[in-house]
Amino acid sequence: MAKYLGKRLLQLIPVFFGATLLIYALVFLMPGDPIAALGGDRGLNEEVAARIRAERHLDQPFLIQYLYYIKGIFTLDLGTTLNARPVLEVVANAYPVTVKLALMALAIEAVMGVATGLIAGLRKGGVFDSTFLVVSLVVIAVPTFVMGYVLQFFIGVKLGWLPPTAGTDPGFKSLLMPACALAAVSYAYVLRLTRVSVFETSTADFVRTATAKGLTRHRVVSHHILRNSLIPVVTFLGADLGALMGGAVVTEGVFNIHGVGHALLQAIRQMEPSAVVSLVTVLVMVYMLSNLLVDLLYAALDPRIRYDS
Amino acid sequence: MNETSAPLLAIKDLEVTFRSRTSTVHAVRGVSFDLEPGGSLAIVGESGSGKSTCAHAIINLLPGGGRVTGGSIKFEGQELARAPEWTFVKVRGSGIGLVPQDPMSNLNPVYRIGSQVKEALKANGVDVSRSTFKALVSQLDNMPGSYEDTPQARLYLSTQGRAALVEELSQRGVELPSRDLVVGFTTRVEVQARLAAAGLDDAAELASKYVTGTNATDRVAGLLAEAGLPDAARRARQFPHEFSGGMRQRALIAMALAARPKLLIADEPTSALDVTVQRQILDHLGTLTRELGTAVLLITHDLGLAAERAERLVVMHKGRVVEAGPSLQILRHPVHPYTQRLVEAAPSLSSRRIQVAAPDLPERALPGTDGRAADKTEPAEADLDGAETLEGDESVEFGSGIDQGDGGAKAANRVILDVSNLTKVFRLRGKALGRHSDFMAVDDVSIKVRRGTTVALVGESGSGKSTVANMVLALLKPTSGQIVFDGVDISTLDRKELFKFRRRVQPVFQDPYGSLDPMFSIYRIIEEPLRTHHVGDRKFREDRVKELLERVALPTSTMRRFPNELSGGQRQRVAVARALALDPEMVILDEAVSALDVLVQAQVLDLLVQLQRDLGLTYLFITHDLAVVRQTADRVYVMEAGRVVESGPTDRVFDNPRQDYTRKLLEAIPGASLDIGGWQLKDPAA
Repeated sequence: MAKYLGKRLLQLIPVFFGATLLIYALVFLMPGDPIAALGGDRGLNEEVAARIRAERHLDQPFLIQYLYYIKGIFTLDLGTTLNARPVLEVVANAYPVTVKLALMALAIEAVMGVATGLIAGLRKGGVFDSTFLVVSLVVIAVPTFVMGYVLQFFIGVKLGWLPPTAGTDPGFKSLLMPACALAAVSYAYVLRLTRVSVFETSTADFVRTATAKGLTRHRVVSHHILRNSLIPVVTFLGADLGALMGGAVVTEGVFNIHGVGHALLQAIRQMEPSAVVSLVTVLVMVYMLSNLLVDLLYAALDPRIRYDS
Repeated sequence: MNETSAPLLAIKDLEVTFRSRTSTVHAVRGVSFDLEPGGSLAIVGESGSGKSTCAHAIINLLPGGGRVTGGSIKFEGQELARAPEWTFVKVRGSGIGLVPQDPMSNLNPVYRIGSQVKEALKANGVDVSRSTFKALVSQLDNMPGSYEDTPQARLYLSTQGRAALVEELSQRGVELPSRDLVVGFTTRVEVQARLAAAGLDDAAELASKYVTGTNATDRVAGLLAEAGLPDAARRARQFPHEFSGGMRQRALIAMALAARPKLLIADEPTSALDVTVQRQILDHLGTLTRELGTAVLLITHDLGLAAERAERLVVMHKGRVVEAGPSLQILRHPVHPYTQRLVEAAPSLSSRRIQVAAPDLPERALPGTDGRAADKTEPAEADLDGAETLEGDESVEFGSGIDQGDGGAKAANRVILDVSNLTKVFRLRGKALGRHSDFMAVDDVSIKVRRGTTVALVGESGSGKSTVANMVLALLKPTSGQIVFDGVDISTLDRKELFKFRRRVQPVFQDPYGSLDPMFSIYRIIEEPLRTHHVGDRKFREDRVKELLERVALPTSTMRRFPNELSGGQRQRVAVARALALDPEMVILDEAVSALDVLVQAQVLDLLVQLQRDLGLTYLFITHDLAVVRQTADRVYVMEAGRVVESGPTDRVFDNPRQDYTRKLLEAIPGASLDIGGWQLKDPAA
């Protein structure tokens, strides 16, 4: 197990370099000159502009710039944004809110999706099943931002049950609605995945054998059907955590949350390679780590999977 | 059997109906039978006869859409037909146990074996905590009287008790085989008896001191040991995928018997297992249920097996009971035509090769051969036999050199496949990187197959027989050794020649469900090899497919259908037709009939024999089923652990097996021990 874990962690290294290089290149290739833009309409003194460029190594070739950036990462100095904020601070400010939002969304989709999926799967073809199949179809069809605006308007503005926007440093209550909007599409997938998986497992031979042993229906469902059905669902949830963090960019815009999406958008507009690359690289790492977590969880759920040999 | 005793299970006019949106199927129609306490009864029939449906109806485990629509099921006088679910929860496990069909799919893969057995104990309230037991025992120990027939007699030895007892015994210098003291299995009475037998005066005191009852974990180990699982305490901590099929079936038996049910339903308990394992498990199940006084309801398609294991038979056909009565009587004097066909077809009972005209050897023999070629099989068989068993080393030359003297030349011309000293080593990955161990799957195997004959390769799973087949088909590269097909070493073939070689040697595989592409129509399936090998034009291929379908006795309209619309037997016919599409000289049948019902099996075997006669085919039959071998093969090679342990003409091997292993395989044929001597279908005495 330790060996497997080590191998997977080592794999993160090339991914890290690949991801940073790619994103750095993309930002570098963006048209426009951020330094020239600093001066606004009046324009910048040539000498000053050159000094700023030299300070930020912008006069160097692309690869050298990139290496300076990498060096910065290892010395924990990600540089500053053009308005002199340390990039590290930008990242540290943006992530907690987004992580909170993504985890809330994950919890909502997992609990709701598995619960409704289980009932639908056990009563396949029934009223509950048919209703939720339609619901999930609608939810999948409606884009996240539309869902966001609809919730915001009805629940936030009309009914006033929850705050319509989150603002800075939001709490659980103000993130609840954004989290629901963010979770909606994935919820529908979790529901459908659980439903099919539960239905298949409930007709498996070992479930019949468990019933024949004299177990109550409750025990058969909770121990034999649910546990076995969760294996594919967990895979999806783990992969989805990364997607939720990325998807939060849109939701954050709708609900005015100052998270990763907000920070990223600003950084892109201002063409700041170090800020963009840092924000995205952390996203990539979160994605990789959550995938690793899923694989480990997979082994815990299914004893047939062993990573030792 | 006591005629007057009330039946344990009384089924009367049972009707089971499967209803789907489009159709209603009456799977069981008016079935009635009784089963006495401790008795045994077998329901026999082909798949679709309703035998399993009957069994599942008893414990309300009918698959979706199935319902009991009439009749009554009385278990210990209690009506179960249309009873509410909670009645079944009570009856299942403690009243009626179920040993299911396929051990591979009937254990939950994510739980340890032990915890699955423990679950059965808990669900039926027979797991007892240590403290409850201690309280119970202290009460009981104050009661006078012997241990026999008191609940304390049924106390089992616990892990701790065993350790303490063994220590006390070793201090006294008494040696007791540890096998005799199985945790969770050996009762207080048994311990006392063993100690007394070992010459200890205070056996009773020791037994009551140390055997104070077990906890659930110990009991689980005991149950598994009881079901014949060695090293049960450790095994209980393993997962199902770490068990072989036979071991899993033992675990399932332990589970079914955990709460000591009065009735055990065994639904084809061993059809998925190797013959030798089958026999062990059935023997064990028989002994166990006899000791425990459990009644057994056996569901099987094999008449021989049923007759051997049950006192009475119920023969079912299309949902109805067509015949019922004592086993041997039915076997000897079947009245109903369907039963007669079953008896005839039961491979375990028929002892003779399916008779056809002798293969047209003379035509294929070289001109100028002396009369021996025209002889039927016997003398030549003897020749080959000698070549393999006595002069193993020479057989290499024998196969490769054509002009090696007179006798050699003649034999070589008739030998279409000559496998010599074939070895296959698989490299198994070891614990650490770069470390590995070698597994010898096939070890120095030499086989000769003569044109137009059937040679069978027999062995249990893991004996390497399928590996040999794959190498002969050039699907797998041998580690060493030679495969000479029609005079050419197939390892020397290049891509083009190999392509041509594949036209001449075709396989038919075991699973008729898995070996046909479900997305292809039957026409496309049979036509595919023709198209791959660019045989003829469109019109020609269509005619050829029609002709092939006729050959395998399927209507030509079948070609527009898809595999899922056909039955198992029909699919296997399609597989045979596909194999014959390219006019091969040799067909390799890898367990080609093992997955089929007896009657269908008999039909397919007949078809194969007939095709052999008409087309002069050569068969290499890979199977674990000796009964099938006896019906089809001219020569048999018995494989064990990668080696050929015995070979010879079929009759010789069957009548006079030289190896213990062969004898073991032969004894394992269900029904082999039955004496149905003198029985004939048109016995005037009947």
